[in-house]
Amino acid sequence: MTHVVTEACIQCRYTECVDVCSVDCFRQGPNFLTIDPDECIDCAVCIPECPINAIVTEEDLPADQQHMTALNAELARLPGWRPITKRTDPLPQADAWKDRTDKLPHLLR
Amino acid sequence: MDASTDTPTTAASATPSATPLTWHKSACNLCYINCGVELGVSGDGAGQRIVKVRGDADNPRSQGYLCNKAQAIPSYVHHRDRLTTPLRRRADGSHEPISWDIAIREIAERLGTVVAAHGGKAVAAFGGGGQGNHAGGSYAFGLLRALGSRTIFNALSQEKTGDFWLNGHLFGSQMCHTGEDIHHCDLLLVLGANPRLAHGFTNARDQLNGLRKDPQRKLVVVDPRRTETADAADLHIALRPGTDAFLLGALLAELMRRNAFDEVFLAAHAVGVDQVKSALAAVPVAEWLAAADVGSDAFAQLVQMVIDAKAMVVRVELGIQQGLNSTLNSYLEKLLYLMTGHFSRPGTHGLHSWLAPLWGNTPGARHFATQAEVICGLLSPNVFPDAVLSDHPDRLRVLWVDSANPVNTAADTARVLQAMATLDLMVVVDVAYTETAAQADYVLPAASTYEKCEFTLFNFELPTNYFHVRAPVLPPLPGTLPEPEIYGRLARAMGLMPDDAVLDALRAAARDPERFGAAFAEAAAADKNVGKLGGQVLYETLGRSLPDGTAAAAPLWQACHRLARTRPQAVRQALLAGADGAGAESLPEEGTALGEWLFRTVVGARSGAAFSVHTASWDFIEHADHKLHLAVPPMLDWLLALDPKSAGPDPDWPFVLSAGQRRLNNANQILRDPGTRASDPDGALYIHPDDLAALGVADRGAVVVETIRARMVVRVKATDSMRRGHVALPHGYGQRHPAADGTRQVVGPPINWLTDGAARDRVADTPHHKHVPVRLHAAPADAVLNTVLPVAEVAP
Repeated sequence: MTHVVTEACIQCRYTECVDVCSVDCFRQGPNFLTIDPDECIDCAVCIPECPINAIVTEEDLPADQQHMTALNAELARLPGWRPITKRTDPLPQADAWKDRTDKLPHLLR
Repeated sequence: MDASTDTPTTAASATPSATPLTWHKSACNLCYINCGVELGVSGDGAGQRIVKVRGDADNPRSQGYLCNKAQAIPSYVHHRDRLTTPLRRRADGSHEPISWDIAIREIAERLGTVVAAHGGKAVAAFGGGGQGNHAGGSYAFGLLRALGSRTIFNALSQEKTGDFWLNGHLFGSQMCHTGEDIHHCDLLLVLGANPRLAHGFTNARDQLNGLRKDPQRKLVVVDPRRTETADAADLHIALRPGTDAFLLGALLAELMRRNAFDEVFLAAHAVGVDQVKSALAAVPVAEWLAAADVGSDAFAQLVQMVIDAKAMVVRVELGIQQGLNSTLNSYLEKLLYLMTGHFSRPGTHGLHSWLAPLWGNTPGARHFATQAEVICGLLSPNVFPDAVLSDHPDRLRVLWVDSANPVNTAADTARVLQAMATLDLMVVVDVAYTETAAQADYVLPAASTYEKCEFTLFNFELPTNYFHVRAPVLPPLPGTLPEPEIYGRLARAMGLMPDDAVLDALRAAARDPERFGAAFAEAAAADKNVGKLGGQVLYETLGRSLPDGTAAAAPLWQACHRLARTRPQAVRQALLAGADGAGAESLPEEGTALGEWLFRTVVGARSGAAFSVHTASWDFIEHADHKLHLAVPPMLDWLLALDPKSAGPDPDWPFVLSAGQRRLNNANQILRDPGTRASDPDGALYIHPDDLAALGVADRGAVVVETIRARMVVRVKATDSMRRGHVALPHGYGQRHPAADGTRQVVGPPINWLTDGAARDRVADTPHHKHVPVRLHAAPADAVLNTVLPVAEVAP
């Protein structure tokens, strides 16, 4: 059981979510945030913080985002993905990319 | 009131909203863990609304932890079914609004009439608080006691009183209660509980993550279902439903055979050990494992893990407490950690302190009209209909319901309703127009948990124990009153309050903490009513000097002084730790000064405060020898009489239903708005896909559930987490909540139409909710969901 960051975050990386996480389970990548499922306690406080609703509970993942559960877990284990606990600016391209649905190939590790 | 402003972003846009929020500290009211929360309030005056919920990092116990269920708190406060005026029942069963003055006057008259004719024995209370609110109950109970009523039904007495009865025998008082130091255990054995979803201990999900990540620490889950907690366990034992006593008996017998009891511990701290051992020697282990359907490999693993454990916690919950052999189950799980010496040291069980106890000690007490056992001063809700529908001259005639909804939550709804219809008078004090309010003669609208000062007596931590007085976050919804105001008006209308002159003198004395104690004692000696309604008097006098709107916490003054007198070292240690060294020199050693310091600390701490630190449990044992009295003969007899042949499925009722399951998005039936359960709107029956296929029903279809009491059509959800032959319906559904156009629709299954009030524990009358025998078959295509279809006449 965990919460999952979906593809919507790619190329946007708004980061409001990290301010409210009570177990500091967000990890920062070059153009995406992931949730470490070993730490997440399903508190759900992050869900309403994301301006583009990128976070869902594992249970509520839509069919086309099911692969994000495993991907979040995998990314969280990459050594370059460090904890992020304070909000920063979104990526400069966030506005241009926030409504796109073809973002997975653009995910940087 | 602590408040800081914050400018939130809303989900709808990336630019900050213009509405500032003020943040207020409080606690979640959905389960007894009461995590500290910060609530973000928008708007002003009467238009204020709670719009955000987050954990409170300043709460010394929960430290910022929160679970998803707390996000539903705004919908508990803000919904269209809030009561805003007193109501009186009309002849046709509907309710009409009346003023507070008329309501109080008429209730006082009718209550007075019954008490004059039949005595306080004819009056009983139901409830006195929920998961997040105990402050009001003390005012209700004070008034009812002053009228001579001592009969109380509540949720504790349909869940935990078997456990508490045993504590009376083992530790010497029913008020001795165990806490668990899960943080430091290396084996967590979970029985009949699903802490990943339902908690049951502080910061549960975080603790479970810690257990999972540390290879030296182990988690075992014993549960017919492969629960969310079992998914991450080192060992899951999916025993047959209802056979926990067989497995626990076999486990104890095998541990004894392997010399795994802690003989040094037992020699030093226990008596009755030989009687327990000789009973265990008679347990036929292989037969009982077969009865529980537990394989020898899994059993061997379980035994070895217990033997290897340096510090074990046995975490149990309603799965076995509301299961078959309830009190025996509790006895066996306590023996499991006591015989192995996992008690009174880090990472194990211990007896915790109390500031104000949540229940009493009444060994050997029986209810006058029904002869049912009164445990901790409480009577099981299963006994309520018996107590009303009786010929006994002391039968119940009046029910006072405060913050409880027995029509939804007590077993055997048909019989509960029949009993209520027979009463001379029923009054309901609540926040919403509940199913029970709909049956009442009078309904009084209470302010919600967050619109008044509140606290709970769920203080089960060790070695450091905490108390949290929550300040109001919002003003009372117009038309509502907090309980101290309600019961104060009623007490005056019934002539029970001391004169204003007495109260004025106490208000003057309250300005000087040193004087107040003596003044209060004098006033109590001079006027019986001061003693009888002590809490109410303290609220109206001392209460006025308390900060942040916490007058309702005034009755804690007595508890704080008592604790400072009886356990000064434990109190000092807690206060010193909480003060972080600052002011340590001026902390009093003992006496009134220490009591006053504790009281002011507890009342002033918006995120809660430590009130006691102790490490050894032996001081809390009430037996004169301060030892564990392990032999409880009725339990040993019960154990030896267990019949493995009774363990298999009943051919007439081939399925076992666990009623009242906790899931991800349900928590408490005070959440009446169906919007909180959008992912499971119908409260579906969990069932194994093969069982569903054998019934010829598709997933998301519907089945008829039939018990000895009723039939009901419910939605189904296939999940292979369920054992074959085992099904589950959720807790917290079945309310009749109004849609936008005002029509009331039932939201999910009202499961207590299905449960049989006679199916209960032989000692504590605890309902067997987790083991309801049922039949299932496909539902007709046009069947309406969640509506009861009776099969039997209501038994008298």
